[in-house]
Order: sequence, then C-alpha cells, then structure tokens
Amino acid sequence: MNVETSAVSVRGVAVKYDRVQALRGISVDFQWSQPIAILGPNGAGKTTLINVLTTMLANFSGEAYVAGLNVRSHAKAVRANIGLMPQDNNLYEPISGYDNLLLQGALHGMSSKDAKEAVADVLDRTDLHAVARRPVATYSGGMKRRLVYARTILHRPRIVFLDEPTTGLDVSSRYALWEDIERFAAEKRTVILTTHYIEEAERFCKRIVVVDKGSVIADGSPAELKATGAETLEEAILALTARRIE
Amino acid sequence: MKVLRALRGIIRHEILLQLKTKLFAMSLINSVVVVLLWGYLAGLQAQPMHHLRVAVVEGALEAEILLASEHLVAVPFASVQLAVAAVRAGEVMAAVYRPMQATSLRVTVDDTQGAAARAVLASISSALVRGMRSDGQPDVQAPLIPLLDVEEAWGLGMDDPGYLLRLLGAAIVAMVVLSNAFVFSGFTLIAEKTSGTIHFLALAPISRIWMIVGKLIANTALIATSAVIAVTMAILLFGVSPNGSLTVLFLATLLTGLGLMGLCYAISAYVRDERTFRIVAGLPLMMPMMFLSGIMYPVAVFPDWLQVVSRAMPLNWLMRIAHEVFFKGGGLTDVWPLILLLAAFAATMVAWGTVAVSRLMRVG
Repeated sequence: MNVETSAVSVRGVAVKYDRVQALRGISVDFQWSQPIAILGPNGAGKTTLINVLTTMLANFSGEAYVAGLNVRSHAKAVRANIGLMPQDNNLYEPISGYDNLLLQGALHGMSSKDAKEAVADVLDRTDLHAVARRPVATYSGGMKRRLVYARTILHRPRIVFLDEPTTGLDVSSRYALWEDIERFAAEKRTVILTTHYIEEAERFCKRIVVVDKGSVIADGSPAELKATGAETLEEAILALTARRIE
Repeated sequence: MKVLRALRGIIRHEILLQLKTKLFAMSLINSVVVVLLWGYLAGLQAQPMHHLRVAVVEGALEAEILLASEHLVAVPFASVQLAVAAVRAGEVMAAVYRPMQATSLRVTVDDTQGAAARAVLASISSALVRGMRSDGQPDVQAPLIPLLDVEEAWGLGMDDPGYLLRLLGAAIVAMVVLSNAFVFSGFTLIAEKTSGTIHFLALAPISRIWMIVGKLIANTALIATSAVIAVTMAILLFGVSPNGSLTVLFLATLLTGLGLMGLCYAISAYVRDERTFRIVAGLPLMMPMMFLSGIMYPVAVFPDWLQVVSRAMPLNWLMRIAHEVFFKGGGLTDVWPLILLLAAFAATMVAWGTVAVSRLMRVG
C-alpha cells in the first residue's frame, strides 16, 4: 500500500492532549471505495484519528495522507476532498435547513445554481424537503442528524468520515440513513465510519479496524475478527478490548 | 414541604454555581466599577473646574485679572484673532477679550463642550467678580460682574431646549458602533463556539483567514447600516445638522467598527461562554469606553490625567471626528491624524482577532 494509491494513509501518528496520550503511533492504510469501520470503546482515540485526517487537529507527530495529500501541507486540498459528519449536530439552528445546506455549497465554491441543485438532491435523499424552509431549531433530533448527513455529502466528497452517524436516531431513521449511506458508497465514494452499533459496522463494512488506548489492536474483515473464536463480532471486540463497549 | 425542599435545593445549587464559576465575584467587581466611574464622573461636574483653559489677550486688564485667578487656567495670546482661533481649534474652552469700542467683555465659548462650556462661563464670571475688587472683599456697590457678551464659537444654541440632544447626536454614532461591535462579533462567535458551527466552518477548503474576513465584511456592513439609520434619525428627529464631511465620519465608523470587532473576536476566542464574555469584555473595555470616551461626559471636565486616558481610547478618536463633522464642518484635512490612528487600531485588532479565531477553529 502506498500514499498515492490509498484513500487514507497514516504513518506513526501520535497525539498527546496535556497528559493524555490519545494516539500512540498509529499506522494504517484504507483503500479507495472500501467501507471501513473504526471501532473501539469510548476514549479509544477514534475521534482523535478522524480529527487528524480531517485537518482539524494539526498538533500531532507522524504523517497522515488523505486522497494522496499530506494533511499538514495540503490541508485545504484535503478538505476539498472530504466530508465530515461529526458526532454533534453542529448546525446553525436559527436559520433554515435549506440555508444551512446552501452555505455548505458556497463554502465549497459551488455556483448558486449548482448549490441549489445539490441542495435539492440531498434534501430528496434525506427526505427533508417538507421541512427544508423551517428553522433548524424546530427540527426533531432525527431530522437534525439527517440534515448533518445531507450537508456532509452535498459537495460530493470522495471520502466521507461518519463519526457515529446514527447515534440518537430511532430504528426507522437509522435504516433510512444506512440505505442512503450504502447508496452513496456505491457511487465509488470511500466511507470511513465510527460507531457503537457493531451490527451496523458488520453489515456495511468490509474491513474493521479496532482501536483501543490509542493503538490499533485488530484489523481485518468481520469474518477474520470473529475467527478468533467469538460467535459474534461484538464478542470478538469485547474480547479484544477486554471491556464493555458502551 | 417537598416543594420547599426542592426550592431550597435549587437556590443552593444556583448560588454554588455562580460562586464556583467566579461569575458572582466578577459581577460584583463590575457593579463596583460602574458605581465608582459614574459617581466620580458625575461628581466632577459638581466641582469647580479650575483646570479649564481660557484664552486672553496679552496686556488687557481682564487678561491680568484672569492670569492671576485660581478659577481657571488663563493662556495669553498676542491678538483677539489668535485667541478666538484657539477656541475654534479646541485648544482652549473660551476666549475673553474686549472688542473695539465695546463697553462689555466678550466671551467666545466652545459650545461643542456641553457641561464644560457652561462651567467655563461660570469660572470666568467668578474670576472677574473677584478681580474687580481691589481689597479682595466683595464690593457691594460695584456690579457683580462686568457685562459679558457670550458668543458661541459654533452657533449651536446653548440656550435651546434641544442643545443637549444636539451634543448627543455626535455620541449616537459612537454608541451604535460600540454596542453593535460587541453584539455582532463577540456574542456571535461565542454562539458559534458553543454550537460547534465554528468547526463546521473550519472544514471549508479555503484559508480560515477568509472565513474571518467574510464575517468582518458582513458585520461591518451591518454596523455601517445601523450607524446610517441612527444618524438619519438624529437629523430628522432631533435637528442635529452635520455640516462636515459625512464620508469621513462613515470611514471613521467603519474603521472603529472593524477594530472593535477584531478585539471582540480575540476576546471571545479565549473566553468560555457568553456570560464570561460579558464580564471580561464589559469590565475593562466597554464600560470605560462608554464613560470616558466623551459619549456620556465631555472629556474637558476630566482632570488632566483622565483626559490622557480618554484620548488613548479609539472610541474617543471617533467621538472627536464626530464632533468635528457634526459641529465644526470638519473634513479629512482636519481629522486625518485621527483617521490614521483608527486605521492602525483596526489593522492591529483585526490581525489579532484573525489569529485568535484561526486557532479556535482547530481542535486540541
């Protein structure tokens, strides 16, 4: 695997917050168009790794490449290639969902016409057309989550990071969202996911990377991870991390 | 009973919260500072203002009296023309002289100075009354004061009922800029921090500097709009009639707004929440600027040391420009040093704010 041909390439990345070592020299490569889940208990370092890869965190040692671009020296180009759905719904609540999405289009340099077309497309995909003109503050938690997802894919990024995308969603909303994530991935997009819903990771991802205490402790297909003797993927991960995943 | 217990719990929790977050202590300091500033400045106006400067013409009888007086600071000039020019230039508060063949003394007063202008007239009267007595005792036979013919340097009409409102007209611009800069930049950025949208913006594939520049342009436009509306209202409702360059005033407004917003961005990047911002930005910045820049009280009434403090404040530079434009027909040639100062202030604060917000956009 090398930097040019990988969607993501991480070489010895370490991050320290004050006295906490969040990442301990992680090295890993992700292939293009292969859905990947990063699993691990709370505080394992999953979100920190995503922050490094999305250029949000610059204070780290080692090297990281996204879409063949160094996240330090080509941060803007990296950001043009990626979409991030964060854990929190960081939306502008006083304005409408439509205007939140238009802003995303503008920030990615879309023309007004292109942005409006892209907004119409993602509103269709997330079934938010009916509420699009309402202030986001009036949305339910599920609607807000879908709007964050819509915003994440609006500019058609080549690589999408989904940080616990279905947290807080009811079952039907989760299914609907997964349906579209699968559709989006099928369009030759690389989806990198963190989640606490193991069954979602197993169903959707061909490869699972387990992180704990800032290190990669397992890496393989769901079947390979279960081959250690566990009946379910959840059991396998529990055995690996030796503590309950909440 | 249950309700009372719950109520007691809530009260205890709320007090504990305010004490732990040090907000109570900060609010207390805030209140004390307001009272001290307000009380001190209001008290100044009730005191005789012996530091007010008055121009006199060398060799004249009234000049000798005023030079010997403790009621004011007399400054000798070679001619009436130079003395009056000093009033119009804002170097002295008034000029006292006897016009050719006139029986009364004339006082040309800087009527743009509000309470200070009235105070200097009183000081001149007192000084002349004392000076007219040969033995230092009241002479009941003599007129209390010689006839004083008061001339307003700028013709603002100090006896008009709307005089104070006309003076406040200039302050309106400064108030609008000050309050809007805090609201549009400081509070908005804190809302972006708490909602996490600042990190959403950080993911845009452009330099983060452009993000801040965009915000500054938008908010400067909003401040300028507010200032234009406020000035228009002052003109239509209160008869304020600016006779100087409104373009210069507009430029000064933009520069002050930019500078204050840069400052607020920098502060709000470091504080935790809106309440802390109110206290941190309000205590050392907003309140002193409101009280000491000449918005609420004329700077001339302050003692010398406080005038130095006031003249170091960017909002005072804007106030002086507004005074020039509203009352003295001032243009760029009259106020360019102040415009340069404001430009330097704006550039420095915008640079600081940009660096602070760029850092804020990163995680960790």
